[in-house]
Amino acid sequence: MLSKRVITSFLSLAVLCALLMSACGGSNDTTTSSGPSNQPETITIWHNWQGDYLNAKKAIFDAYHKQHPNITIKLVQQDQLVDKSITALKGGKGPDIIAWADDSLGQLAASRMVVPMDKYLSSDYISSTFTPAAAKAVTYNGKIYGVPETTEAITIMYNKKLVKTSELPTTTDELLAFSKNFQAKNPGKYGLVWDTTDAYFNAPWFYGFGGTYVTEDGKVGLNSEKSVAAAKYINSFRPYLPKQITYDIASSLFTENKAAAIINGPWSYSDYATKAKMDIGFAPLPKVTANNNTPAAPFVGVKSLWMTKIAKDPATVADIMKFYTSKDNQISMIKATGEIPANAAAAADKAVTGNVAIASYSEQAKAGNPLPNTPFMSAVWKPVKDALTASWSGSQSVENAMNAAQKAAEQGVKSINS
Amino acid sequence: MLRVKRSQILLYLLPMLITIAVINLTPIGYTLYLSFTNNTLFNGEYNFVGLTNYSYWFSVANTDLLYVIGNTLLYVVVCIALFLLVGLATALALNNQKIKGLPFWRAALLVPWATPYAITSLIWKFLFNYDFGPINQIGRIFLGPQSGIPWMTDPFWAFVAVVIVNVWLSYPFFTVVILGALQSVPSELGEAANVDGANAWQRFRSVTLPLLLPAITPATILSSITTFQMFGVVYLITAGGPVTSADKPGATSFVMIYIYNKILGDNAANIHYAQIATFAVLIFIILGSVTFLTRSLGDSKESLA
Repeated sequence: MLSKRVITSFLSLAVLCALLMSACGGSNDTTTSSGPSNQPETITIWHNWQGDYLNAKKAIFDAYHKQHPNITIKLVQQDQLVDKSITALKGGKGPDIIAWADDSLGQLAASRMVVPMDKYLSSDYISSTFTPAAAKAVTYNGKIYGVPETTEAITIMYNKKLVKTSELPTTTDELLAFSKNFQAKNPGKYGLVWDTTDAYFNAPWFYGFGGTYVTEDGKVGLNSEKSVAAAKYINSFRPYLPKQITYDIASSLFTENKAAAIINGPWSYSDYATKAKMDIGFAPLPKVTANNNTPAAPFVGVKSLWMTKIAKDPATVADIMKFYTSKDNQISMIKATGEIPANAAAAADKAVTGNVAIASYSEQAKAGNPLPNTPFMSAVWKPVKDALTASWSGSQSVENAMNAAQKAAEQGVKSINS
Repeated sequence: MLRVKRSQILLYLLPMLITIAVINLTPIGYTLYLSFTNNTLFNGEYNFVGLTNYSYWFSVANTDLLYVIGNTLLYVVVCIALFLLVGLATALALNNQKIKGLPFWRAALLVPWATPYAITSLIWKFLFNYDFGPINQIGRIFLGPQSGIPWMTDPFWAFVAVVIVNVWLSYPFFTVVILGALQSVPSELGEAANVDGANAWQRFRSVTLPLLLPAITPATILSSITTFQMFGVVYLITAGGPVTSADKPGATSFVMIYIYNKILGDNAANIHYAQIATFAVLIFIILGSVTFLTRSLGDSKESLA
């Protein structure tokens, strides 16, 4: 009697253990073949493409799925994309492909979250297919980590209903006066809106005034005289913008016809032009009066697709990447998104050069600086954002804010070097 | 009669014990282990470094630990005091004989408590917006177009804002707990005290309150711990901000938010997992000892009475 009971309890225990084991154990099949696989499989892409912009990109992946019905491509939109990817990948989960701007490549490559693909994408292929700046952006420490998709820079877009081309400012001093006068004439409305606390959106001012965030070898330049001058210029807009300004607030002010112009990038263009049906005009960022009329210089980011360390089938990943960035697919995509294609043949095509939006963005990109793909950038974004937030809210003077940011960024750089 | 050997009981319990060990103790053990290593995002190493990470948090250059814990404790004290005050007041009001439709009020009170906090937080975040939030918009009708409370941009007001939201979310729980206890207080006791010549305050102070304590105390302790570890509500409203200086944590960076921002917030450069694990261990030690103290204090009080 008793022994029977012991046996049953042992049995139930064994069943439980077996359940636990089967739940924990993973399958590790390794396929080594070149070209896309014939087996059914799912490739997951984590991205932060939004709105109409996303639909144009999704169409290409759908076309790929039609050609290779065994391969399903899963697009997952993530905010805080890089941080979430790191967390997931550390646990052996997450995407096969990350699609994001090149400034994060350094951090992801140095922490071995994304892996080199030289075996599947030769450097010859990359340099012959893409524009030089784009090819450089997916190369880190001499290795190829994926493909560049588009290049992008922020510029001024204006609502033709609210403002005439001739009224638009061409220098920073004029811009400040424009914001002031527009608000005086139209109470409750704003002249130019943008996220005044974001490091990416304010880079044009910092670099236009002659300052820097961080150099390629990790020297932080946030409290230099020129950087402080730029931060002061940003702060001089405080009376003419909402006190609590975010990207979303700026964007909805613009679509609700409450702001005459906005500083934003290609990702927002189709939302404004197609969805909100606005009549959009383009203007380059103004020249900086205080710095001998040097044009304000935005970061030129290269949106890229990288392969992560958990990707099981690099050959298929490479094939998808090649398909996605091919000339024809890029041309059909940018018609909807207004981006500057990284594919050199597509960039030279008439459909691209004749498009007003793309021409304006690429004109603006010529004045910009390439967004560095060193890991040091990851040490700078947050300190700059914090400093701009603290000075915009008035809790710190511009000088103190930039000094604190310098300290925080130097600490971050130190932690990367150690 | 059923006779079971002790070893057999253990055998039956084993699967559950193993599950608890795997699910609960492994992460704690791993965090403890991590806190003695030099693991960061970039090096991926697990070299033993002794107490380096612990001394980091107590070094002169780093005042984050004290600031964050002090700020969190202040938040806990303010929130709990208001929970009790508002909860007690509403419970006493509802306990009045003249109140009709008690079940309705009780259900109505539980609505904020039962609504998913992610939704309420986002609504409050919008209400608190400086330029376009309804609270400031209404204020401007009375106080002129230039006025407005900087709810989300001023450190003090941001703290007030997250206190308001937390109190709004949590006081109904206290109301219900206290109301339940109040209704079990026999009315004869109050009447007897009345005959003895006690006034309303004395009746409350010496008769009702002592009888409520056994119900209030555990609710208070549990709420203190959850408030100490508050994350979702505050994070969704302020994300730990407003930042007053780039080299300091934000004004509502309570412990959990501070940890989250260090690991997952905006790009944090080379994430120092070992240091953050150490911070978590220190918080665990503090929280554990406080809980232990309040428990043993509560016990001794009861044994005295």
